[in-house]
Amino acid sequence: MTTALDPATLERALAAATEAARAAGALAMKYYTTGFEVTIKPDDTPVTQADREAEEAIVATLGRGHPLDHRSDRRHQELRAPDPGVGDAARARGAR
Amino acid sequence: MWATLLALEAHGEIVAGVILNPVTGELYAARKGGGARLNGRRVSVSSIGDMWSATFLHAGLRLYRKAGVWDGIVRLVDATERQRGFGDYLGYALVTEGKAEMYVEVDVKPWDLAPCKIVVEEAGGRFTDFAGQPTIYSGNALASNGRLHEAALALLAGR
Repeated sequence: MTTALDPATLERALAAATEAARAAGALAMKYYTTGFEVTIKPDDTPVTQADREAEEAIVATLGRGHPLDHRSDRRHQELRAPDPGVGDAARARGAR
Repeated sequence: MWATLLALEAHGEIVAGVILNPVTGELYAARKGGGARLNGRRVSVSSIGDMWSATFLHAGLRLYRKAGVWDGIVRLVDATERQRGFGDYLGYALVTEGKAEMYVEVDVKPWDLAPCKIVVEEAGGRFTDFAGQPTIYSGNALASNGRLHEAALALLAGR
């Protein structure tokens, strides 16, 4: 399958994603060191306040000059979790 | 163990992705055609080509039983030299770095897999569902160093 995105655009997208991941990671670390509560979403999967705020940080970061901002990126929306979830940290507590 | 995962899908294909573990500072990043990097350093999958020298990574064992693939997992256990259990992004990261040859996951969502696919592929590996399709939408995934992918698929399926 071919992609219509040239390498320079992909590099910019990767840089934006890296910046967003770092912003989310820094925010999540605040909860990692101070503790967090796990709540269960309607679909019976766990979520934390750190997840929600991290997702907000990602969306905000990508909203500042993302190279694909001009697109109506519906697939991107579909790829996003309907509500951010957590991984093994919550599962280890029996949330899954 | 947790990480922040982001990916870009364009025209039905994952073309860029990042995996960041904020605790360890490990950042895996890849874009289509650009190779895979760990904290800026190029990384690649292993070159092991025989199953008996391979390390097979699994996630939570109960999930495989619930997903009905237990027999396939046992075949992989019997066929490989070593087996270790981790979970989530870490299995893909270890395959990407050449520290293990294959990783199998079930009960996963597309957003759990999206950056992992491009990172593994750009490291020279292969990422598919259990049917061999290069997709993140099947709810299961096999990531490998490429050379052992078909053999692992066959063992999973009992072929």
